[in-house]
Parts: sequence; C-alpha cells; structure tokens
Amino acid sequence: MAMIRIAHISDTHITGESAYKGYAYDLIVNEINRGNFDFVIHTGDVTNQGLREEYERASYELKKIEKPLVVIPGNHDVRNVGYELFERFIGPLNGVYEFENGVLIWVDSTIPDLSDGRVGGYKFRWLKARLEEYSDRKFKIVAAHHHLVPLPDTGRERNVLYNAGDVLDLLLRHEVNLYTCGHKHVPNVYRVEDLVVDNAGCTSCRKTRKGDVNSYNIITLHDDGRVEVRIRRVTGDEVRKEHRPVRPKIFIPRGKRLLRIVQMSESNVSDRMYFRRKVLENVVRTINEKLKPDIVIHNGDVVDMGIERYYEKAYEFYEMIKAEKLVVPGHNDITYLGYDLFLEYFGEPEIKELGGFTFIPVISAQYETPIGVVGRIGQKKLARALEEYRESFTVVVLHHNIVPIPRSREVGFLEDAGDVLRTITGGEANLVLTGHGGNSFGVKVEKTPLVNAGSVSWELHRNPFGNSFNLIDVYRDMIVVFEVQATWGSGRLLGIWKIKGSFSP
Amino acid sequence: MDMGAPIKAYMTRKLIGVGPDDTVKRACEVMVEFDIGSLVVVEEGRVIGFFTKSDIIRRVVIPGLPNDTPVREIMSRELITVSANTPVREVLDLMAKKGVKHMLIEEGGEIVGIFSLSDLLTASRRRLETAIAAE
Repeated sequence: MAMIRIAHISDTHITGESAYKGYAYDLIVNEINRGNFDFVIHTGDVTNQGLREEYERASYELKKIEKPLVVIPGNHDVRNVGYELFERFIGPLNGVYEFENGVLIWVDSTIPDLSDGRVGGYKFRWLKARLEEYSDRKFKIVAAHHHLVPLPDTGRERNVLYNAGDVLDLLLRHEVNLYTCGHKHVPNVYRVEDLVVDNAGCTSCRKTRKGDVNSYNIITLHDDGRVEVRIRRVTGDEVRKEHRPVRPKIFIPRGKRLLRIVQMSESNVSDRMYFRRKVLENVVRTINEKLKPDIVIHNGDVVDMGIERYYEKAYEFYEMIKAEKLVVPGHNDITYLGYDLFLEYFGEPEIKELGGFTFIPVISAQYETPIGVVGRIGQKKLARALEEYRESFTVVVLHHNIVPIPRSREVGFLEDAGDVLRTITGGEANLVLTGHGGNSFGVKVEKTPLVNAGSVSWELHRNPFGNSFNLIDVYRDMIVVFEVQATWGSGRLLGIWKIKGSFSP
Repeated sequence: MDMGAPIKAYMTRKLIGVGPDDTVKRACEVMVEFDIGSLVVVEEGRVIGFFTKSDIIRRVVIPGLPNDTPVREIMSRELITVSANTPVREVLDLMAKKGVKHMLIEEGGEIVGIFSLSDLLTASRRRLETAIAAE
C-alpha cells in the first residue's frame, strides 16, 4: 500500500555553545538517512541566536540530511535580524512543497526579537490562497514554528501564536490533515476535530523539559487517509498515535433529549453603556418561556466590576431564571471587593449532580488580571473529580478559554492551559464549557468537545453575529450545540459531536 | 465571505439525517428540533436520498399522504451535487440557475456536506481573515 513517510525534526539550536548537542543531532540524522523517508520537515529554531557563524554551521549540518528537506524559521532564527541570514543560508521563509497526493505549505510565524508568534494579514492571505490552490489534494500539511493548541509540561502558557484562533479556524475549514510545529521542546500529538496537531520535541537542544531526552517525530500518511505520528526518542522509545478522519459525518437523532443546558458568559451587568440590559432581559425571558433548560450555566463575568451595586443588579437578573443554575466567577467578577461579593451573592461553586450528569466547576479567575490559572493543586482536584464521576456524563465549567478563540488576540489567557487540557482530555471529560474572549467557538480535542460562549449582553465582543448564548442539547449518542442570537433568538449550529459509547444516565 | 474559497470552507460538514424507513412525521420532528430545512436519508452510513420542507409540501401534504409514510417513498434519489473544491462563486451561480436552496457537496464519490441559503447567510458574515496585524 502506498504511503508517505516524513521525518519531523525541530529546535536543533545549532551553535558553538553548549545549548547544542551535536551527538544527538548526528544520531537522529543518521537514523533518518537510514530510514525510508520521503522527506524531512524542520519546524524551526535551526540556530540558537540567529548569528552568522551559527547559520554557517547550520547550513553545513543540514546538508548531512540526505533527503528532501523543508526548513521553517523559528523565533531563535530571527533574533539579531537572523531572518535575512535564514533566506541566504537556508531558504525561503514561506513556501510550498508538493508530493504525491499532497502538499506541504509552510509559513513564517515569527516576530523579530520576540518569542511570540503571529501569522499577519499578508501571510494569512497567502496561506489561504495556497489552501485554495491545493484544495483538491488528499493530504494537506501546514507547518509553522509556533504551537496551535496548548501543550502539557511546558510550565506557563506563553510565547503563543497571537492569532492561533484564526489560524485554527482557517485550517479546519480547509480540511487540513496535519499541522506540524515545534517551539516548546515538548513532543505531543493532539487530534483537533480531523486535524492532527503534531508537535516535535527538540532534536538537539539541551533545553528539554521534565528531564526528557531529545526526540523527533515520524509521520506516516496512509493511503486510506489515516495520519499516524510516532514520537521517537533517542532512547529508542516510541509513542504512537493515529487518526482517521470520519467522512461523511452523519448524525441520525434517535430518542428523546436527555438534558438541555443554556450556557452564557460575559453578561457584565453594570450601569455602563456597554451593558445591554434589554438584551439580557430578553434572554432571561427566552430561557424561561421558550427554551426551558434543565440547567443554566454562566461562565463568568457576571458583573463588569466587583462592586455591590452591580452584584445586586446581577443577582436580580439571575433570580428571575427558574432553572437550576451554576455560576463560576470570571476575572471581572473578582475585581475590587468582588471575591467576597461573589461568594455572598452566588455562593461557592460546587459540583452539581443532575440525573446522570455531573457539572464540575473550576475556579480559574485571578485577582485584578484577565489571565487565569487553575493551578497544580486545582488540576489534581479536577483529575480526581473526573475519575470519581467517570460513570456519569462529566461537564467541566470554567471561565477561561483553553483552546484559542477566533478573532481574539491570544496571549495565553489560561496560564496553565497546556496541563489543564491534558487533564481534561486524559480524564475524558464529556464536555467542557468556557466563556472568555467574547466569541463563540466549539471544537473537539481528542474525545472532548470544548465549547466557548460569546458575550450575552456586553457590547464589547468579537462575534460577527452579535451577542449570543449557547443552547446545548445532549442525546443518548450526541451533543448538539446551537448558538442563539441574544436579541433575535435565531439559532445557528455551532457544533455537533458523537458521544463515544452511547451514554445512558 | 471569500468568493474564491472552495465551498468546503463554508459548508456544513455535519449532516443530520433519518433512515429510509423513518416516517415523514419523525423526519418533520427532526427538522423542527434541529431548525433545519432539509434532511439526508442514510442507509448503512451512505447518503441514498435527500428531501426538503418543500418536498414534503409537494409530495406529502398536497397529495394527501398520511404522515406515517416512510421517507424512502418521498425522498429525491437523484441528488444535485457539486465537488467540495468548487469555488463559492460557482456554487452560488449554480444554485441561482437551478433555483435550489440546498446544494449537496460531494468528495471522493460521497456526500460530505451541504450548503444551504442559511449557510450562505452565515458565510456572508464570516471573513476568513485575521485582524492581528497587516504584516
């Protein structure tokens, strides 16, 4: 059976200094040369500082690879105006590599002298045009240096791709099969809907994490559409993951709805002009009279500021809702006296069981900063709760988005998003509800759908459809999420996902 | 909306359907519950038919068929499809010329999505752009 085999190396950090481990590089390159690979991808940080002598050495070292090679610039390569040298010593910063049945499009995601990433407008449009041009290819690979979804074991979520949400949305819409990247020195493979996100660890840099060794990834594109990635460490250990896109995706509703959730966020009740009181009144009426959910979840930013007057108003609104409620605090809620006021008005969020469903609230808000954290103890608590309630349908509820949201400038809003995402996917949570960023978005990572709510009644949002909230219906074998326009009540399907191993409460 | 983008970028790739032996009543319940105007008919994981609300008016209500008629008797078997790689511009042109509100999208011999007028309305507000920086 025909297949394509790719060696994926990254973060070689070639330099005369101790950061570079030449023997690890040679070991991996020899293995690649002996292996049956069609081509090799290097996802950046070829050099350590972007210096001329490093580029000279790198161009020599890279020639040891006896296969077609695509090299992408990383943040270290563009230090000291290294991007000019990259083009001179290595090759183009952006480009296209065609192979049988497929295409690899690589894009420069670096920002000179910063560790963060960005695929700016010109490059984004160029990428889009290439995806259109190669739309009919069976395998579409996009490669860049920066990671797209948070990675475990990276400490703090930082140096992110500022517009990761927009890039992710573009790749999903164009049915890209594989995104390859490096940057964080942690090998990892996630499946995001049908996109395999393949992070290489570091091939030859001293800076590994958690005492890990150097590694590279082996990608196999199978003729039947399967994308297989093996993380191969220099010790010879291998971790293998694969995904086969399901096509067509057909949903045949059977049986009655088991549970209906209304999910909202960022009502930001206040007397500021950005707060749309009438819209929120309308939403409360729609919930009570038309939607009649089993539970209403508010993902935080109930008030715009943590002051008594706003909490009093907010409380009046939410008292009007007849259904069960679960409210977690957002960063706005705990500003000023908010921490105490939240507890006074809404109480400590507690695990709520409803039939066979368990709602697990997670506190992520920090005092006076939009950046959230679950924390190492919080993650353990969450993991224990997911284990304890394994038999039920587990819904994790927190304020901060874990995967990047389109139209928002992602700066790592949840500082330990990588470890939290691993806790959630590892514990196979059935659903995760978040509400930060002012835009609605739903995506499945591994087996867990993560749904973000837009802003329900705050004018400062990022949603082209205006203020909205989500309506989530759970059936025996699927979850259906509609986004409901807050003023007009019209619905749009935001996502629909199968529940593995049909659930019966 | 990007008129040059392949229709796959804007289509609904998750299809909601019924079985061929499901009744028209059940199909209508699904349409109402999911707020959609058409359904695919699925047998053994493959799309074998398609029908819209107006098909129900034309083929069930007016002839006076009972609402427990199986959908296989009223569905369209001849499917109007376009390839998933067809640019949006061409799909709109085809829909306008054929006067249809729903277009089934095909790839590799299988129905993989649908593009309807409501998808068009959604797409009209969705630019595949980034505001992050001009760079």
